[in-house]
Order: sequence, then structure tokens, then C-alpha cells
Amino acid sequence: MDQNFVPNLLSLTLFFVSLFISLRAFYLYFQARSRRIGILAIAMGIISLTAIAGFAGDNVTSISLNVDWFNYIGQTVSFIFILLSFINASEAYLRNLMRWQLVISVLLLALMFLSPVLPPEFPSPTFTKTFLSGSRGLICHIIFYYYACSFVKMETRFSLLMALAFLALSFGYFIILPKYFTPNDTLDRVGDIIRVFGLIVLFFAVLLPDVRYRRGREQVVSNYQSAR
Amino acid sequence: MDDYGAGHDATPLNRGRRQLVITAQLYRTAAYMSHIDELFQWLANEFVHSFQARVAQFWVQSADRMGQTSVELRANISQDPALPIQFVVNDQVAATIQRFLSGTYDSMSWQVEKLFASYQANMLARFGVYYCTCSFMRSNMLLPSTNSNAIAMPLRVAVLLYFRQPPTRDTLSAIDLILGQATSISENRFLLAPASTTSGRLPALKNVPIQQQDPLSVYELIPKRNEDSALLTSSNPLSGAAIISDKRARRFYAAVNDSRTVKEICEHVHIDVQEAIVVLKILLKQERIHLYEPGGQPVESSLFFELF
Repeated sequence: MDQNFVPNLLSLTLFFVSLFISLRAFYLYFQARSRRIGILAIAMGIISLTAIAGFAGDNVTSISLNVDWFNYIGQTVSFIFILLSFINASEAYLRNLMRWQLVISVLLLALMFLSPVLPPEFPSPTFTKTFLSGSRGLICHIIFYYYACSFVKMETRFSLLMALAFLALSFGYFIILPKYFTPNDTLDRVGDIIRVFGLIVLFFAVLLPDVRYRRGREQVVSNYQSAR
Repeated sequence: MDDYGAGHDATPLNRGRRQLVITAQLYRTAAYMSHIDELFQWLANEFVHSFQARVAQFWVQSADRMGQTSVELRANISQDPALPIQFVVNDQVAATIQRFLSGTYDSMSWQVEKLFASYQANMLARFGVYYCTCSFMRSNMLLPSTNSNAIAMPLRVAVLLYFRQPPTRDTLSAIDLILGQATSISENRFLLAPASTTSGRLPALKNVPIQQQDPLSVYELIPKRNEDSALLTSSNPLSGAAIISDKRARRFYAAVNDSRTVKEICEHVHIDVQEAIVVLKILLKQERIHLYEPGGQPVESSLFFELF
């Protein structure tokens, strides 16, 4: 097996899942004008770009793309915005959040296009990569807690699957942290596989219809509406 | 004919004399009238010529056999023949009158821009119409129906007058007094016996709370978004349940920023008040917005549906 197989699998899974969510969310944003959905659309769009940039960085060897800057920062920032969209539902808060997200997304895109000219390594790479990768894990873990609390309150299949997905993602990010101190391919692969699992659960969470669990009987809350 | 104006140049003595002269003429002329519409026409004519109203309208509330109420224009006199009738006779005006007649309001006076959409207010301003007043004729005696589908119901008339200059309080009082006299004449000559003697033919009138202040104008309300706090956490945001299928409602909702009034949003998305009411009902039904008065008091959705 090619040693890039698992990283490529992770990059492509992340790319397709986040792209699917982003495109669907953009469509629904224009149909529903919900700022939370808009924030999700932009965040997942950036994450899909980090995924494809990561795939290109790992497989294109003719030029050095230096996409780590965009990868780590882009994913960390996107997860932060998803988390921040949970905190407050007021119109003013979400409007300002979305504005900031648009500004920062433009800067991230600039970072992506400037990748070939950026330095190949972070300053103090051990510390910086640990910090950025650990941040992704921490933010995903906090998101997991939001979904776990939501499942305890509302008992929906969506919140259960999302909690599971973000638990897997956060665990996947945490488990690879030691590799920044001492290279460890095994931990790296295990972390990647756990994250692939988390992404697959995430995909099914957004695809399946909402279901609320009540005393062992499933009750469909709303049906999935296909794109018009 | 004496030009008394809208009261700005007339002395109090002249204004009182004007009202007496008109009332005397009313009693003399009413003796020769055979239908209440002739009374309305005569009064509208007097208001235009004696009070310098630009337009005078008499709107009457009627009801069909199913109990559905509506308004019909029974007299419309304009000082300026060039004024297009659609500016003062349209669905928006009818809806406003319907709302007034469904409640129990006293005589009122506003600038037209407070009552109508900017476009309409601007058009009226071009023809020298800046202010309007609404007075009422009410009686428990029945107004005969004008067609077989309508039924006789208690007299409810809204008298809408448009002015170039703001009418004085004396002018409004004089109009009210004249209309009071006209109501008495109507009861004696044109109206039927009260509802209690007609074996329940009338539809039950809704019990709308009496409002002492100016009526709630839909234009003054402030819609605020009601973001579903469970969206993204408990419910799948990608399921499509949050879709607003009506395009106008979607555009309207997109323009809601928790501080714009309905009027500002209507101007932003280019819809009139009728469409705004329809859109607000859609969004209230979907629980996408809450409505608030300018002072910050929330408006119950059920009250909005009742009033509009």
C-alpha cells in the first residue's frame, strides 16, 4: 500500500464531505436566509479547500506548495466560526459573525494563493503545529459537548450522530499530536483513520432525516426535503 | 361660493358660521333625497368646496350572507380632475378603511406618508395632497344592502378627506358635527330598524378592543428575526425545513435586521403594504419573525392576524 494512501483517503473524504455540506448549505442559505446556515456554508467551503490543498501538497512534488499554513489555520478558523455560531442566536450577533467570517475567509483565500511563496515550515514548527493541530482537536471536542448536551435535551438522531462525528474528529486530532515531537507513522495513520470514520458519520448525520427518540419509539420530526 | 379654506385664514366666528350654514343646507336638501348615496355625494361635495379638501370619500362597511365584511366606496369627489383615481382608490386604501371600520376609532388625522407607501405618498404630493383625515358615521340602525348577496348591517361609514394643508382642530370638529347631523338625518330617512328587531339576520360583529390612540399602522412595526436556536444542534440544518418558499417573503426576511420598520423594508424590497401584510403572515406562521411596536412592545401574532 502506498504510504500516502491513508492521508490521501483522509484528504479526499474531508474534501467530498465538506464540499457536499458546503454546497447544500449555500443552496439552503439562499432559500432560507438563515445566517447560521450561511456561516456553516462558508466554514465548510474553506475546509473543503484546505482538504484539496492538502491533497495537492502531498501529491504534487514538482513544485513546493507549502499548504500547511492554509491547512492548519484554515481548518482551525473554520471550526471556530462553527462553534461561535452555536453560542448566540441573536440577529445582530450572527450578522456580525458572518461579516467577520467573510473578511477572514478572504484573507484565508489569499493565504491559499500565496502558498507557493510562503516559507516551507512554521516558525518553531513543533510548538506551532502542536498548537494549531491541538486547537482543532479542542474546538471539535467543545463542539462534541454542544451536540452531546443537545442529544441529552432533545434526543434527536442528528445530535447523536454529530456528537459521535465530532468526538471521533477531536480524538483523531489529539492522537496525532505526539508525532510533532517524535515522528510516529502508526499514530499518524490511526488518527487519520479515526478522522475518516468521523467524517463518514458526519456525512450520514446530515444526509439522514431528522428523527427524535422518545421512549424507544422513533418519531420522524421532519422529512428530508430534496433540493428544488 | 364662500371660500372658507381649510381653516387657516377663517376666524373662529366664520368657522362656526360655516358649519351652521352647511348643516342648514343639509337639512333643506336632504328632504329631496331618495337614497343615502345622494347624501354621501352631497356631503363629499361640500367638504371639497367648503373645507378645501382635495378629495372626499365615503367608504361604507358591508357584509355578505356568509358574514364576510368588506368596504365599498359610495362617494368620491375630487377637487382636481387630473388626480388619477387609482392613487386614492386602491386595495391599500380599502384595507386601511376596513381596519378602521372593524375597530372603534375616533376621528384621526395624519400626513399621507405615515399611512401609505412612499410611492403613493410621493404621487399624492405631486397633486398637492399631504394630509388626510378620517371621520366616522355610526349608527345601530341598518343600512339597506345594495345587492342581493349583501345583507343589511349597522351603519359604519368612514369619511376620508385629503388636504393640502393640515386641517385645524376646528375644521375637524366642524366635520364631525356635520357628520353627526348627517347620521341623524340618515336614521330618520334612509336607515332601517335596529338589529334587535330583525330576527338575527345580521352577522355577529367582532369584539375588537377600543383603541384611544392612533391605530396600529403596519408600517410602524419592527420585525425581528426568530432564529431557531436548535438549528445546527438538534435539527439538521440541511434538511430543508428552514426554506422560505415564497420569494417575496424570502426577500423581505433577508432585509430584516431587527431595527428596520416594515415601511423601510418595503421600500428596500419594493413591495406595497398589501404584499407586506401577506408576507408578514407567512413569516409569522413559520415563526421566522416576531413583531414589535416602535416602543419595543411585542405584538402578539394572533393580534396581528386579527387586525390585518
